[in-house]
Amino acid sequence: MVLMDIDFIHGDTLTATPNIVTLKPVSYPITTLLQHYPDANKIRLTQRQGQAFYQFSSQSQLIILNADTGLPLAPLTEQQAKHIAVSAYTGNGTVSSAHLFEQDAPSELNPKWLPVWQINFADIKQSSLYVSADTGEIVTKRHVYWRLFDVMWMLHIMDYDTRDNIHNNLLTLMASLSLLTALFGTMLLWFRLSHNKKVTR
Amino acid sequence: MIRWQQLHKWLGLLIGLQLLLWIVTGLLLNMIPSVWFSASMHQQQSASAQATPISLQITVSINDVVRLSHLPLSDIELITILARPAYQLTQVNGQQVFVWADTLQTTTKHQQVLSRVSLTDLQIHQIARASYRGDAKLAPAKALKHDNTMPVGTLMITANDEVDTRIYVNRHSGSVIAHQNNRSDYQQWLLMLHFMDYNSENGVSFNHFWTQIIAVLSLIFIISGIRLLVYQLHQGHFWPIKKRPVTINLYESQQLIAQISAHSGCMLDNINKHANAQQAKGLITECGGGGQCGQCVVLYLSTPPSACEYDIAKLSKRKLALGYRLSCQHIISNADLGLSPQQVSQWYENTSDVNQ
Repeated sequence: MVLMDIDFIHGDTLTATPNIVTLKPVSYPITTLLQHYPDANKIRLTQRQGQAFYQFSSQSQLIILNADTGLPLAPLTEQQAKHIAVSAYTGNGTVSSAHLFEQDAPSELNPKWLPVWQINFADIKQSSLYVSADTGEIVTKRHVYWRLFDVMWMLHIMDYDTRDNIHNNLLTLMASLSLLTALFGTMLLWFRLSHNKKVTR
Repeated sequence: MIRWQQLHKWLGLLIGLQLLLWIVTGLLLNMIPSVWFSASMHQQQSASAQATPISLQITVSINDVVRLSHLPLSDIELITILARPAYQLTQVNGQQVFVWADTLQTTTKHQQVLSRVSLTDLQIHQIARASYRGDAKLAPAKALKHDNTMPVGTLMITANDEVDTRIYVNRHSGSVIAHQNNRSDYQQWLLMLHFMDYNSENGVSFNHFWTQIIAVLSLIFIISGIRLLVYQLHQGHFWPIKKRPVTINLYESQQLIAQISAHSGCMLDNINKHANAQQAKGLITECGGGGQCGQCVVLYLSTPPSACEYDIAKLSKRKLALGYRLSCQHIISNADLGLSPQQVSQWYENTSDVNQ
């Protein structure tokens, strides 16, 4: 796997940096927002498809408000999600399917990104772009090489259940045996080379 | 086959050290619990999850920020630095700028400008203190020299605790960039060795030229090892138990000099085990049973086993036809073996040589 560029594995080549639309003045001030949601924190102003919006948490819920009207912004529709994915996508496949994940994330996705649209492309890499249904951001990218890498990582750390725990007993056992094997190999090599030395003397 | 063995030997010499490093560092990273390595053992979890009642102090509006920013912005976030409201601005070039949300500056030309966050050493110390859960004394903040892994304007505060905690705080954002300590340094060091990442500071760079070279050589090393192992197993080596014990008779010019009873293994090992039990060296071998030196050759006086690749490589056709074989390459059988006068004369002689 070290022969494969890690940035390629991460899917950085799947999308081009989107043309960032710059923020323009908004009609709903942050002070008004704080009057309505006094416990709001992590307030962030950004935009999706030209519409500026506030994103913050209040009473441990993520809230998305239109930054011009102060009204909740509807979650992304399938059409909008596809549009965002297609405009960032650099490959030459077409969208083959789109799924909305709201409760349970697929195993290749961190659940913190939910709710999210999975936009799949019909290309040789079986690319999938994940678009946040709340913010419209492309949160992550997956393709067949990433999935292969994930399997290789599982084999590397010998955690066949969760694929992320490097502190497992099976690995300890096998690494210890490997160490013994390597030490015996070193001894054999030493004997072989020192015998040869005796001949030349 | 002979080539495989040479290849395996030289590859072992070439990459053996790195293989050992991979195994040892991997084992340590596996066995040492992540809690022990934790750089944040004394880190207070950020208090930003609690809302701060700051609404009244905000005098700089989002629209002021958008209007006064030098570069176009893609993202604005409201944060608090030492209980004062501030904006974290992300410019379209990806760079971040931090400005106060309760103050605007006025230039000499009576123009309004955003007030950039720039904390004093004392304030930085205060932030470090708040992020530190231990009760050791914190040294004054020090500027970092020649450190390109931390953002510009980052200061270091060290704590006099058992792990030498280092707290990195940025002057222009008020954020705690990282906690580090000598245990997290140790982890970084193991990762550096494991990834062969000797240049970069973070120890996780992946696609190094030398990693790739050694990984490919390791693969060849493993394939050659498996090839050798399969061959040896196929020849009958390493199987621990042979059901029926066999008798090996050793002769020197028609005269029986030893009778050996054996259960498993190759001829050479059993002959020398017998010799060692009598304080003798036995048959000389320079390659240690690898079929390379040809010193352990014996003559099968009746029905020699079929010659293997090593026999053919080391012995002449005439000798093969007469029944000469390398005793290290043949599994025990009921056999009568002839030794040369030279081998017999060295049988004991060699012992003193070894003892020297």
